[in-house]
Amino acid sequence: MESKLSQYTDFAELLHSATQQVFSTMLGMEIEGGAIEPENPPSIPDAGIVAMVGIAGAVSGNVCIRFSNSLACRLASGLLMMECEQVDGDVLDAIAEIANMIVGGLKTDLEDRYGTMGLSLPTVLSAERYIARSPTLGERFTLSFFCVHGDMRDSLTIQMCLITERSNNSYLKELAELHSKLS
Amino acid sequence: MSLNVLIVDDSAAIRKILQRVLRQTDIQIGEILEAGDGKEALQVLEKTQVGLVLSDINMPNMDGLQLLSELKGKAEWKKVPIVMITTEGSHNKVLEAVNLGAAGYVRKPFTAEQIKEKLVGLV
Repeated sequence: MESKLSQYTDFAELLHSATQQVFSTMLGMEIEGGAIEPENPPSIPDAGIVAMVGIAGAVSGNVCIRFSNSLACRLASGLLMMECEQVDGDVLDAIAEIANMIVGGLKTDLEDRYGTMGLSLPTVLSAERYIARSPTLGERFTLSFFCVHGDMRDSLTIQMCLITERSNNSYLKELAELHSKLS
Repeated sequence: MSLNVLIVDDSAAIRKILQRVLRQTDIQIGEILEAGDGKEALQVLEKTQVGLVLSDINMPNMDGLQLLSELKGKAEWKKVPIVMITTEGSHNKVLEAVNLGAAGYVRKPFTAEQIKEKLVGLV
């Protein structure tokens, strides 16, 4: 598993860099951690906010960013320069834009290496009980960060699922072969 | 003379941030108008004269580059400076915007100072 994950170190580093840039530039906050791990979605439902952005093109996949409600409110307060004490429309908008900027930064770096790709609009969910996991197709990994601001240290998790064009073509070929056997 | 500004972005959060940044500049800002996409922006521009447009690129209905192309194609809007503020950072996209007539290009994430610097000299 470790050697498999090492193939995605490049992706993880780009994602780490994009996240760091958004937090330091727009929020004035630092993030710690970010080591790559196999995707490890919680086995029990979580509470909080998850923002999801899809990527399609030379690299396809999706990025899920999970925040606690309290972290989401702090981030929204920092971004919007207004007090956000509970999760509301302003907080969800802020989180959507944070996710958009992180994955947008990742996309620009990936395009330099792999070619053109597009992003979906961000989808943000706020839920009392949810489990978020990536599609089973593709390779999945997780980056876990701590967000540091003043006396606050709160966790932030980014799950990424990705398929490069080569593995996508291979999958489509397998699917076509399976269909021809069934028909 | 105060300047009316149109902010075009499908993110309400970004529109709020840019409003705040504009009010912090030394530019005499008049009315700040908002639109969620290029189509809405054209509807706003039909009714109100603006001296500056700040626009995202990736938006539903009509994206920022299509909006840019529309504005530069019309005599009444041709001279209004349009600054693109976007997550799109590829060289090709920047070049496309410049070739269409964008007066400036700022990548998200941005600092307030980066926005202010871009506006100096434009208005």
